[in-house]
Amino acid sequence: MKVALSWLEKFVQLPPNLSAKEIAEALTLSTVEVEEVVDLSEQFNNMVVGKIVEIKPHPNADKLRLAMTDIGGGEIKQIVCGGTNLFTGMLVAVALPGSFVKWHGQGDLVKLEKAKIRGEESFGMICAAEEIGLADLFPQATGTEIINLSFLEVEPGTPLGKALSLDDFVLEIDNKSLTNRPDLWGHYGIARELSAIYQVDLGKVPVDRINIDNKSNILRVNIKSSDCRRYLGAMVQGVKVGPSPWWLASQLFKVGIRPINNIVDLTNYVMLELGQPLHAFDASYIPGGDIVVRPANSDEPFQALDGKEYKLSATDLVIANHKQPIALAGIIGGADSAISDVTSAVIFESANFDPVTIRRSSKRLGIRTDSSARFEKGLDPELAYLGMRRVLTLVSKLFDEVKIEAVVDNYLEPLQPAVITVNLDFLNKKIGQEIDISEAADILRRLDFSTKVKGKTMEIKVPTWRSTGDISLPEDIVEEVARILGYGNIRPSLPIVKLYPPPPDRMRKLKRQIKNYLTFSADLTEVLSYPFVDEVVKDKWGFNDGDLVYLQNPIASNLNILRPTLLPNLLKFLLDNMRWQEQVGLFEIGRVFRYQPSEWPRTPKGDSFLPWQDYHLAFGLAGKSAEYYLRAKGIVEGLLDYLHISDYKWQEAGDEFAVEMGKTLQLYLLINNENIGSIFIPNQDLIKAYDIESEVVMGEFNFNILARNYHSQHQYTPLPKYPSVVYDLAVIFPSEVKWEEIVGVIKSASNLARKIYPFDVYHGKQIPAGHKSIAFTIEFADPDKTLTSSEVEAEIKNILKLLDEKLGGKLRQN
Amino acid sequence: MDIVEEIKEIARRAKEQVEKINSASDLLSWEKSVLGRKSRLSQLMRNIKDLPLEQRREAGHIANQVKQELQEIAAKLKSSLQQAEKQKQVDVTWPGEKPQRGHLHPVSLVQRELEDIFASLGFIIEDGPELESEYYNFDALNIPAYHPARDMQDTFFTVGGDVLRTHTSPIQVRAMQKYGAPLRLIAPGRVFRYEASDASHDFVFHQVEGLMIDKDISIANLIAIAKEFLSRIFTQDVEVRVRPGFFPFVEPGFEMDLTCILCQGKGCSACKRTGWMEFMGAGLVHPRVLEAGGIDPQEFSGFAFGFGLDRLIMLKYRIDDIRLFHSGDVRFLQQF
Repeated sequence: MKVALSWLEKFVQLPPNLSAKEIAEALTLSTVEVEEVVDLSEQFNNMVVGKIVEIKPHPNADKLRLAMTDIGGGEIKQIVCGGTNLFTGMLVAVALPGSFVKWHGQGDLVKLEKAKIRGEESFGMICAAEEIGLADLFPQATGTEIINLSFLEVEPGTPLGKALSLDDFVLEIDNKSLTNRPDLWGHYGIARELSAIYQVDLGKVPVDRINIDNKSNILRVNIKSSDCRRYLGAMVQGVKVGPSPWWLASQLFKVGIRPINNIVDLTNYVMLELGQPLHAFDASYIPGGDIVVRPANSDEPFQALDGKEYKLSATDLVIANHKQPIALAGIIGGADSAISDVTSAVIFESANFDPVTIRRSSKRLGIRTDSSARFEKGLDPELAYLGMRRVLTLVSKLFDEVKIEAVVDNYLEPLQPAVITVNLDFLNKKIGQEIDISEAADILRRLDFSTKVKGKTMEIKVPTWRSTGDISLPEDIVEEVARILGYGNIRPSLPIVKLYPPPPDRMRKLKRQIKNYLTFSADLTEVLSYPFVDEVVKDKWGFNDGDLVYLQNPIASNLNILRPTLLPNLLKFLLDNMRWQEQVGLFEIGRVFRYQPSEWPRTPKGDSFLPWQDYHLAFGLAGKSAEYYLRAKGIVEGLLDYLHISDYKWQEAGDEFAVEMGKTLQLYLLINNENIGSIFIPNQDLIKAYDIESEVVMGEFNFNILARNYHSQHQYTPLPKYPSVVYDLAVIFPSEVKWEEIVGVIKSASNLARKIYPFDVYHGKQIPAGHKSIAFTIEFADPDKTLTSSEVEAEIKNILKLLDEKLGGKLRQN
Repeated sequence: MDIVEEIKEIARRAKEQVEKINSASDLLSWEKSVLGRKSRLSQLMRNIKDLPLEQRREAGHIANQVKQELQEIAAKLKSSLQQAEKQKQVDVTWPGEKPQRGHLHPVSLVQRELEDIFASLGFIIEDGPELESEYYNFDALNIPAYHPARDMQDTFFTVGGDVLRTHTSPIQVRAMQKYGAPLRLIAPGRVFRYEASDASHDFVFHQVEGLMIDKDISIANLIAIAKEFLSRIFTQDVEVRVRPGFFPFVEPGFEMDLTCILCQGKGCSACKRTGWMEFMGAGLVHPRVLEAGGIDPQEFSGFAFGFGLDRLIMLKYRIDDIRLFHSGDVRFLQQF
């Protein structure tokens, strides 16, 4: 919302020598955030009012003329001008060299220099409205018309901003910070805050008396919905619709509202001044002066001022004549009943509508107006009365012949102002330091709260404009006192509380350990991906629609599903990085979503549960040539070692655990026989989609299940008393023999074999076809004695015998 | 000359010479000339046996002592020359062999710092669902349906009618219901806003929620805690500026600004020449929120705050585009 400083100053006399910036800062620190202070006169720097003293033809151009212009101080300058409406004696807007203008109203601002135009000197230019941002104030009939300022009573040379009364400061207030303050949506409300902050008096809004006649037969209002709390109407005859006088048009213009005609401008003026939206109907569209405020019929058509037709529903509130809506209450007027050049009788409306109704309709129909933005905050019904008095006061000033024929006020249940009792101890405890009760009461009085102090208690009557939901609790009073006192005056102090230890946080600790291991031992880099995927999870990764959580309003059509797996986005990251890396290793820990109940209740009742959203851990390795499968497996095994989880096993996908779509060589990890996840090679078509040559291995695990199975009860093993004996063997096996089988046979053959690990596999010339040579190490140890070489020989002999019998393994001879 | 005197003279000269030796070959020729078979010392030693007994004993003793001493000098010099030789082969300016390591995401790094700061103050580090119910994301936080405050946060809705949480604040009420009062916690987490992204806004980002509930918690307490943790995070004393701000779940509500850490409050383009940076929303927990959490507002009061973690990280490392966080680009991540 834009606020003009001069408008505020109509109501408060601020201390002298305050800059607009200081005022903005004071408001920011105590009331609302001022985002920017704009000095309107800046755009008119080096522009003056000029008077045309003589017009001469341009020797080299038909459409241009030489305007001899008095720019003040006795200086007559020659300016080349193409304005078709130029005449001698005319007052014009002159942009002197050094000013900034927009050529033909388009593009960026350009700095004007002294120039020759078609061979003739031109000292600046005579401006058209669009060239200096005044098109809203001076509608141009044609593109070649210049501004005619002859209506101004000023001397040539008067700075343009001053001549147009546009030498003002505008404060841009962040609308978000006004969300809870319906009273601040007009200049008067902001002025009230300034009066409290600077401790100066707040002036009254100049209004005449009005006579309410609810039995009038000229105007009758029938309210058929409780969503209309108050409705004031006034029938006014004898208006003459036309452009607004300068004081009105320029005031609206300064705060960014385009002047339309004097009647509409007046209603806008009152809205901007007081925060009360008004509406003006052409009375000829309300036969008999009968106004009905009622819910819309369902599917009832409504032709709005914005040129669009809307289909209404029963939850919308309309202002209607005897047969159809003439306004969507509090949001927008109708097209037919709008004020036009031929309007002679006007019905002004100043009403109060239910904020939820206004907001619901405005959202559903997609119409946001200055009016709806105010009503949806919950306006004070008393403001409707003041608004009506104000507009009638102004309309009487504007037209000599005006006649106010009837004013009605339909207000069935007057608002009861809130009364709050606040104890000084409460105030002190919340603020955290001792406040003087008379100071607190004074602050509240400055904000127009009436306050009775009895000992340490204040009985506070809240003004009606703060009683519509904004202020209802003692806590709200704390805010009023603290903000005007100034938060900067509160001394920070650390809380003094009892010590109580937070409960242990296993999940977080484990997550840190795992991230550390993956990063610093496994050489993987942590990534975060958006938790959105598209249909690829169905088509390529095998998820069913029923498992997926779809978004109603995705940010893009390919981000419409909440990820049920981390894999698709991680694979994309792996392959993206392969464009500039030889190899890459990444991991992510994050929530994945599936349409099954989680442990999170939707409400405290606990009768329905949010979708499942466990944490998953995924990692992937990609590279140009290397084989990463065993490295991936090793990363997992190393992690389990690091966490001292030993009761795990790997199981190839097949009978018990299915091969999932998109995955080959899938190997499941079971801990305590519970499925934690798997490692695998993604299918080629998934990789080919990226058009990058790369080998990829990935793994994905359920972090929650892993954490559930993690019990850190690791204990130390006493160091061996006797040395172990290490023995290397190379044995030739048929190709299909698996390492796990070899280990099984060796363990069954020797009780003394403690550790068995392979260090080489060889297929080659010396090995018969269909066979492989496996070299491995066996560590023998006896806990009770030192092994002799003959004992070890005997073990080896037995091992080789059983390897031969069970697996066809023969000791390699060469 | 007396033989003993001559041996002593040989020793003195030899020691003088050896001082100047700095190569293995010089050492070898020195050894040869001093200790070799044809050396004067060897010659004299051979002659000792012809001396009278009295002299023989003294000369023999001295000669052996000198020979041993010179041999030791030679050996010592030899080993130090060898070491010098070896060192010459090492180029100490060659880069060291760094072990391979991966990189933690900056969000994890800074989140850990915050967690550690607050854990040291006895705060619980709490987590909550990212896919939330409207009840916890809005209603329980005193944001009823059709309240204009719902507009302040553009929301992703699922087809099932749940929402991607627009802030970490729903954790406040869940935690109150889980732990009761007194309570102090922070809750870092991902949040979602249905809005267009640019260099300083993303539709997925991170917040850190803070909550402290106890007897007599005040605005003064909140300001003190905020100053404390911000000074630790930025490892410099920061000033905090408090001004009114509206969040339905607190009353009073504030915006908390901190001294612009880019210009130390002098005023620069990043802080719009104000010297202050908008940093977080905060306030005293609204009594209706305490009630929703099952806590008696007559007995307990509390403060709450929430700030954007990504923004803090961007300030800390001077990162100029928030979208890098979700880019997966290793060239970015390797820098942390």
